[in-house]
Amino acid sequence: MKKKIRVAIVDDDYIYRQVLIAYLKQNKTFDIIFDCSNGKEFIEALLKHKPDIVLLDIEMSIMDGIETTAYLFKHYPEIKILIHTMHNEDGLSHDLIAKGAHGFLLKEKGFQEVTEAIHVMKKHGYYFEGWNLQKIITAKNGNKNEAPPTGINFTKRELEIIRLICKENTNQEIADKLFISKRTVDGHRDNILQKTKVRNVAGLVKFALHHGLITLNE
Amino acid sequence: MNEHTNILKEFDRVSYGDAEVKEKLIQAFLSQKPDEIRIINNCLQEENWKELRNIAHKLKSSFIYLNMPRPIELTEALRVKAGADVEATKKQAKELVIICNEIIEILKSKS
Repeated sequence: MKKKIRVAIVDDDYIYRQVLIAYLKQNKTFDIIFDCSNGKEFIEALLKHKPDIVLLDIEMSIMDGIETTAYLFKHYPEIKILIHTMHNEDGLSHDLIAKGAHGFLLKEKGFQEVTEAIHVMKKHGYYFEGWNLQKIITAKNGNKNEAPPTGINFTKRELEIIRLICKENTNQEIADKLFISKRTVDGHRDNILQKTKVRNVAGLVKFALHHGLITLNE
Repeated sequence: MNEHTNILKEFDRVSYGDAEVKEKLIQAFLSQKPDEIRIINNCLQEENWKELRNIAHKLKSSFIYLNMPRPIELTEALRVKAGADVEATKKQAKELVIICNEIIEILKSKS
């Protein structure tokens, strides 16, 4: 008899987890060995049971999917990680792939694709249906510059400030964090807006995400 | 007759005829959604669009598996651009709250 694929599900949405389990249980090639609501619980459960594949959500309040991916890659490299998320931003997926995820699947694709993804991943080790292979390879190699180059020469300080602005810090808060005056921050901010040719913070966040200067989890 | 009456059929569908699973899902829905509705209402009151985007993101997956096109549309709009157009956001969020409340009432009366 063919060995069943041992699957674990980590998602903080209890109902979603139960529905997914009910669906996957219909497929006799899967053995849903456990489910839990965050990365911490999952890692604790690994002391008793090890899945072949984990379906891992990204947004969880305790030990999210990004942190969990990095931990698994380091401590349990044999477990295949299928990121199962609502997020479809390039920057985020690159980050996760670079951290060790083996596959990426959008929740909106539906459950049938989950079945396919698990089988493909078990057979080939990866699942990136519809993804640009070059992007995946680049992300795997840890090259974060795969996002379109900005073509702008930012100073290290400007990049720091961009990230802090995108994290919703005010100029005063940035000044306090970087131990510089608010006036200096104002100056950097003006330069950044000029260099990027955006009009406001919303435009800057869009620019930073598009060019991979920040990821959504930052 | 409410347009969300089919919700019970959706719970049947996603539980694959297992009455115990169906009951567990309905009870989980009834316990989670009122809190989420409260969060949406608070966000509207405080114009906290970031939190509203977060809660819409979370809610969207629930409506995907329950196969409900209008709530999926609303949560997607709120998830992506809550606050961009304040009036539209408020309208969408209020409609979402109404739908959630209707579903809760149906589940309470039929389960």
